[in-house]
Amino acid sequence: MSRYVGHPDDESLVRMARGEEQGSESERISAHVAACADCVARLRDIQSMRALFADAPVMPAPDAVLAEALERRARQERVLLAHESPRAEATASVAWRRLTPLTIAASVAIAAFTLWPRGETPAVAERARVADSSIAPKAPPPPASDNALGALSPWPLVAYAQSASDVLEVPYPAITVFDTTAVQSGTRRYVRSSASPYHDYMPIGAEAIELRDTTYDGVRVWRVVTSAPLEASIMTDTAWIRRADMRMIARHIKIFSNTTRQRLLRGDTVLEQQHVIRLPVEVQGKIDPSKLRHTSHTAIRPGQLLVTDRSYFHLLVRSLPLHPTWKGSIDVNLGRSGNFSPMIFQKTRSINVSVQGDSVVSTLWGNIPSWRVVLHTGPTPERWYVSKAGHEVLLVTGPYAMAWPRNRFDLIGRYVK
Amino acid sequence: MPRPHDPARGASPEWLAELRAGSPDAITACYREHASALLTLAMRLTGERADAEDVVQDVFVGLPEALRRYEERGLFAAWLRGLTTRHALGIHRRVRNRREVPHGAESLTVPARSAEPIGDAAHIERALGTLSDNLRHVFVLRVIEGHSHAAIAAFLGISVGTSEVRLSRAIKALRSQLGDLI
Repeated sequence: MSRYVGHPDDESLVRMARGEEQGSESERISAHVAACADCVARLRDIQSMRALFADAPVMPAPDAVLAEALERRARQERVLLAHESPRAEATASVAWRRLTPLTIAASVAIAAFTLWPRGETPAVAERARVADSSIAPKAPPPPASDNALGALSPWPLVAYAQSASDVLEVPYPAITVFDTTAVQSGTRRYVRSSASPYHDYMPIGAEAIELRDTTYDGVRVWRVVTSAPLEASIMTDTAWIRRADMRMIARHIKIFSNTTRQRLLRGDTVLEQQHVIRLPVEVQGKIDPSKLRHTSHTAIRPGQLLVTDRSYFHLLVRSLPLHPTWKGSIDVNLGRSGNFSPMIFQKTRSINVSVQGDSVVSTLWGNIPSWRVVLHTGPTPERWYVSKAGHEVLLVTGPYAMAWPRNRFDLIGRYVK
Repeated sequence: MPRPHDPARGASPEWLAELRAGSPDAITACYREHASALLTLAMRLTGERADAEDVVQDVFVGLPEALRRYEERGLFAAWLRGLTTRHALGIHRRVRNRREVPHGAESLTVPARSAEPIGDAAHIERALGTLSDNLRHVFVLRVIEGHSHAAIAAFLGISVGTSEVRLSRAIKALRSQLGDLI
């Protein structure tokens, strides 16, 4: 039976153009086309398009791409390219795998034998975890408000200050215990505030953090997508964090309408960063592509938890089993200015994190009991106020000043349209 | 080193064996023969030169391991194109612009057509680049690569009907873009 009534559809003409149509269907279409000027033109268009693309010259493949590929293989890096059914790949598409079974096993072993926290017995630690589970966020986030802001996010709209600069080394035990059941999928929107006393509540930007439970390379991961509008572009930062140990295994950063893009891949012993400058189509091919790509490598300790940005740290905080005496240390990648940097990593340092009391934070949705989590990032430490129910980071105060979402009116009136 | 390609028989078994073993010479030979075509394919699917280069680089880094699942049925070049297609779509899916995020991201992803005169080859690639990802993927996979709608639907996680509708829209859009060339 014919696929069409009247004129054949584009798919039928494509099959004709590709010589895929056979038998009576082909005869029917041919008969119609022979008598229909419109369909003759349509078929000719499709044939021309196909010929145009088939005959178009191929893009010369730069030697730099081959050189990088060979170099990566020489470093014993392997990429598993999915070769199962397309459907299977659609759900678990594979790109980079540097984590051999041996290294994964090593990571698990390291996590299993890491001190928790130093000076405490396992029994104390276990009690702490049990105690913490009583405040773990089993309930959904606070209900949305009945005003327009409620549609923005199921979480409180919060403000936080810029990060600190200097970082100190303090011998706290490394953070290795996470409660991933405390993390929930969803999207959060943050208003970033300079928190300067001269610019009370002055917003310096807004960002959305989307968290999804998914798979990467067959491994169950959290996918964290941070998007932030810049002056003339948009930055999206996507990180894949292995749920088993909360270690980031890959990250992509893109700045749209701009010319840079960064890809970061984390092995167990190396952090690879690729920076690429994108060119407009008109000038592509006129500049040596190897000049536009830069790859660098940073050695990292096996099993090291490495925080690369603020949104990743938000995620970790949500999964930490916080309690009144909780403490730990964490390795972070720092940028040129010494704080979390989304683009250029310059050095890796350890910072200490501890709970120092609690507090009540006033937010748009009322007063929320919170842990006061201190990051020993310098002479003036950074304080993160983390809700006890949900571990949402409500507020960050830094060495510069304080950001404080006092009430709904202030934030709506000044910062939210 | 064995010849990488025999016109009569396709890829030679000896050369494939070296490639499976990860021989840099074999990888280099394969790259010289196929990379440009694969880069063009990846560029058409991802829409960005840098992403396309990443795809090709990944394919050649993982090629020896992937070849262990190659059963030497059909042309090696076609298998390589399928591998590249799957990887390009996988990468694109992971890193694509998240259009549901506000702030007007969508308008930034479609480049404005240049007023400068450019060659036909650049013109047609640019015309393809003006299509949305959804339309471009279906057009490339169906009209250029010759995959069936069933295969495209599986590639993209969409229905066959959706694939057919996207094809019609892509052809219509390209017809207006390429009017002076077709």
